[in-house]
Amino acid sequence: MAGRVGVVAVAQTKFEEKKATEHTAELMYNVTREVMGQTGLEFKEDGTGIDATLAASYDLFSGPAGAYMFLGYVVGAYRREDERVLEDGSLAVYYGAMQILSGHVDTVLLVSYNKESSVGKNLIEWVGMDQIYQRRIGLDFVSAAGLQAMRYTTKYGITPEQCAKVVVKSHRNAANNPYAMCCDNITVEDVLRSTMLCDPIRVQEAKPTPVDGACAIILASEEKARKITDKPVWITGFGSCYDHHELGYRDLADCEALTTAAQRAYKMAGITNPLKTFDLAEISEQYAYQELLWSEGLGFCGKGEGGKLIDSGKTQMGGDLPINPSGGMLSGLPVCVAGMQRVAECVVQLRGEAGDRQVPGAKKAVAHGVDGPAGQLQCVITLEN
Amino acid sequence: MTAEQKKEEQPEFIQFRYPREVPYEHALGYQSKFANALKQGRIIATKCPVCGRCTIPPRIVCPFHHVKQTEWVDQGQRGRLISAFKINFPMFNSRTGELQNWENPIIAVELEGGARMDGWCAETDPSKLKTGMLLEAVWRPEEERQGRADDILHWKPVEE
Amino acid sequence: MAERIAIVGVGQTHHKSKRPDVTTAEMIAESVERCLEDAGLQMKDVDHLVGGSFEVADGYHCPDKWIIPELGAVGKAGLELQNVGTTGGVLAVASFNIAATGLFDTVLCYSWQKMDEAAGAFGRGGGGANEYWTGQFPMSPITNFARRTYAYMDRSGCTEEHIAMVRVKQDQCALKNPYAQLRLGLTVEQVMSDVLLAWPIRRLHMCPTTAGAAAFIVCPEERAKKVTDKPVWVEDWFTCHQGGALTMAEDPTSSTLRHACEVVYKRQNIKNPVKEIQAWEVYEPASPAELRWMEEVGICEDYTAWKLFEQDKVGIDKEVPFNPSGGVTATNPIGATPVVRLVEAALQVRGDAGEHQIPGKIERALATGYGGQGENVIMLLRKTL
Repeated sequence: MAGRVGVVAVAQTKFEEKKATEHTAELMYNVTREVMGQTGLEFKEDGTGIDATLAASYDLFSGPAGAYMFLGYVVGAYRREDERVLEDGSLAVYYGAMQILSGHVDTVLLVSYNKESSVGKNLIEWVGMDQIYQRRIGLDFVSAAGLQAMRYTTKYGITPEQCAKVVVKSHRNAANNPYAMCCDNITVEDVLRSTMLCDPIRVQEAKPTPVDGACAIILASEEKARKITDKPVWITGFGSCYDHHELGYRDLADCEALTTAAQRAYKMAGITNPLKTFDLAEISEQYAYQELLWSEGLGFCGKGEGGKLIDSGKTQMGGDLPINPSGGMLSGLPVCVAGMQRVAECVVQLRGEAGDRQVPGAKKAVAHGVDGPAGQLQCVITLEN
Repeated sequence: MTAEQKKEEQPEFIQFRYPREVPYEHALGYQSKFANALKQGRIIATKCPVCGRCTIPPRIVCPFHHVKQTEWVDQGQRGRLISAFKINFPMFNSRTGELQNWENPIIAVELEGGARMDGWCAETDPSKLKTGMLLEAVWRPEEERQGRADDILHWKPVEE
Repeated sequence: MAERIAIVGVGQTHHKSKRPDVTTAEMIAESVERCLEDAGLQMKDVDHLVGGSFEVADGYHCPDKWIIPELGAVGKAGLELQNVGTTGGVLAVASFNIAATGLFDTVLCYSWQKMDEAAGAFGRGGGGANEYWTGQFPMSPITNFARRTYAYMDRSGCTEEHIAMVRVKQDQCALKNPYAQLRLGLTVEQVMSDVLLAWPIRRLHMCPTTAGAAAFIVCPEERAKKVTDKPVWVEDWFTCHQGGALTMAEDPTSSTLRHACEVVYKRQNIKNPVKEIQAWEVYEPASPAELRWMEEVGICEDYTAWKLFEQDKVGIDKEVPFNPSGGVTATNPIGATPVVRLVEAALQVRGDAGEHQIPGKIERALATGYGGQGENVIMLLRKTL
């Protein structure tokens, strides 16, 4: 492995329910220009600017087939290395880092965008299920999550209050985040009184939908990163792992794939005790129970101890390991953008520029992204300043 | 092998019906200005402050110079034919959502303002179309215009 | 480059218009099994997967999720990419990048398209479109190549007969390739009297709809040498997209192929491509495109390629061995097509192409992927280091 990869700039839009006056291209342009402004990098032919562009987006959300291919010019994909990951944005960071480690390029501009308001999210996620069996039953990502929540909470005795606490924490944290959508003083009772979405998941326990927004990051090789900024944040480890698609093939109460992905990343970064090592975690919880389950997968606590972890207060702001100081997905993030925005939030924290949501003295952080039904594809990225 | 066994082993497709319409709603954003101009019977284009290139559809940024496009330029009502072709197979009409045959050739026109755009030609005989010939926009009645490409019904050859 | 890399195994299906005998996953598994067998490896030896197709044409969202388990790859790292026509090229390049980091020993790239199943639920975005403007015109790849060919004929003096000769050459090559889909035994007269789609494009000139899959395995140097005694070295790669910078109305001839080749030739110090590259597998979605691509890759002067056909100089055992496999007009499983090009090029380098093997030593081979409006991916292979 040739050197390290540094994150030299990050940008995000404000996340809103429906950006009715802005075209997708405007979201992409705004975040692109912002990271370019931060670094002073431009698109040049001589190798002194941005070498490659890498997007993470889902065409089915954008409309016409091949939507990205005709929007690429907005992020500077003109006669330049350009690729698009059809996964959560964290996988773009994962692959972008490898583009640099391969020695093929020195700087990569990553952009992730999604306007969930364009089309029904459930309809799109329904065609994400295998077409012969699971679609016929009507399974989509929400019902898959419902099954997982039921299995997880039943197997380990996770209480509805423990899940509701996650929502309360997210919305409180989001109040300190100017980019977040849902920031209110919701209570555990409010959450438990909200309509049932997909038993046992209640409406308030699910990520708000739709959400529109975009995120951009510039990655650079170690040498370039030091030249571009005096506050580089280093990617120290990354890992990904697939689980079974057929929900019946795995024990939904455990997230084997996340455990493996985390181990891969921790091994690369030389991390043995994640709870002690990290100063914060930004994880992708589309549903409240997932923060607890993913905490187990990420090794912050033992199997089935996610409920105890939230009760202990360790994951609150001011605790040992604040999870989602930004408010996380429950405070409103579009799918796909979420993973990249998780990394961006870690970077902002590690640079000490997180304002009211800053975790004091943060040195090491972990970002997590997920794609597919009930956390089928997991990605873990560790960072340090 | 009996006939029944043979039938069982015959591979086949299984057919599923999907919802015919997947409703998408896209914000026009910076393109609104262009769409509104069409409703008024005007064609406008964005212009790059660096290279001066005018583009239709409007672009938020110049693909070549990555500079934000803020200037809008009126493109006039006339233009010259660049290329034309006729399609001999049914294709979707985006206004009706139906497959249809297309009598009018599709053409590319270079407008007086310099931008190039697609359109349909009033002349249905492709052999009468000559590169460089002068064309004029024929609009739908104002009340039928929706800020769409076919607000311009077609381009009519003009005598010079 | 961190690590030198080599292709150690390739596999593809027998491409057909319809495959009711297999599901999508089974079809991909066919190519993956052939590929593993070719490399003498098993799925347990693979540690990273990269896969994808132009999923929108098949009516799926993120299909890697339900393909992966059926390949027996649960628990492995991986991701999916999609860039419409260049999908296969981007997948190949991603596999190269990932192998070149040296972090993964064995990277498997799988790709497919099963167009016989295309539900059409989400439509096929032919002419490729800005969802507002270009999508309103009845455009498709057919009309794009009608424009391209019209412009080419206008400038070069090439006639309908010449482009029919190109189609016949492609068919003659395909007849020698057992994996090709259309093997028709065409004559120039037959092509010229075929159904006219949009002048000058006839049905036989366009690529067919195909059900097919292709896969390959790429390893870093040390591992590659252990796995095989016939490694095919990957010398260079470049995804040269233009992100919808020009519409067809603005420039019907726009292409990045020439620029991409110039960059790669310069990096690899190739001065005389005709002499230094002995095999070409260049993605031509319509037969007349082959003429322009031959000029853009540097085989002949601008607007003269049709003369080579007139002089009968193009063919497997002729002066210019261009697309010995029969090319894309014979076989087009969209998402897999660039990988098919790469697989065929690798077979040529190894000398294992069988009946369509180009005589003589193949030191270098060039494969490309094409998509959108003139987007290209270049993959340069070499026999010796």
